[in-house]
Amino acid sequence: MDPQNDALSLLAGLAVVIFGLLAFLAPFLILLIGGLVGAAREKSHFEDLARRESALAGFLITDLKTPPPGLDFAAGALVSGSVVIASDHFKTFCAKWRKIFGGEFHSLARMQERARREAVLRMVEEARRLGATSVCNVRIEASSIGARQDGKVSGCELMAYGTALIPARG
Amino acid sequence: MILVNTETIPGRTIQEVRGLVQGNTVRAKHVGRDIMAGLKNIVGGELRGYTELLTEARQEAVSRMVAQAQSLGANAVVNVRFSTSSVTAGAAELYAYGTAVVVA
Repeated sequence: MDPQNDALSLLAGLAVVIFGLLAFLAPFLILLIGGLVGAAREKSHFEDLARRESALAGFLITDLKTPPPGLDFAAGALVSGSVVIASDHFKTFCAKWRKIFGGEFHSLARMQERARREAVLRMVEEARRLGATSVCNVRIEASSIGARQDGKVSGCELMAYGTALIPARG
Repeated sequence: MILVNTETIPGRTIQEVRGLVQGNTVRAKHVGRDIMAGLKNIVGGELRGYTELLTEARQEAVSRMVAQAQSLGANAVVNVRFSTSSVTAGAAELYAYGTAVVVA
């Protein structure tokens, strides 16, 4: 056996070991990457929500059936906002374990909160574009076009709608 | 056509009630969106393709409801409600309904 052949077989062996290790570690890597990226994205989304919500200070949102009393409105229009948020791989993995023991799913509750706030914000932003100062009779409806497949936890779809109230001019 | 989900319209008076109008649509995701959604499920976050689908479905249901209201000679729909139901895995119905009225 010449030394060149020896080096080649060593290289091939090393490649097999590395690929094997990668194949074995891949699920854990995806879990780790999913969890880290998902957490970072969630954090930035919450910051974005807080920033947009503070920009809407003074905008009245109610789920009352009639416009708030004491204010004069000239017109009303239907406005709506919808969003679909996916859960990340880490959350889904944790939720599967959680299902064995029961109890509260904090990470999934946070996902729902994100989606709900986002849907309401989109609705309010549409109302603002119409010149409204208030939205009444807000309803929030959950849908299931794609994200909830066969009972697997993978996301949530929410739609918020209400009547935008445009104030009387002058 | 004025649409509101309140029982009355601010600044207008209802003169005549023409009755219940409705519109629905059943939508399914397509494979391309499904693959993207599968990838997105690793890191989480918004599934824009599905959000679009949901928005389109809502607009379609509303426009069908509005067409029915127009055929009844109404110029507004009050007390609009949306409802969803899952027909089969991967497909969902979006249903909009309200009361067609004539306002002045």
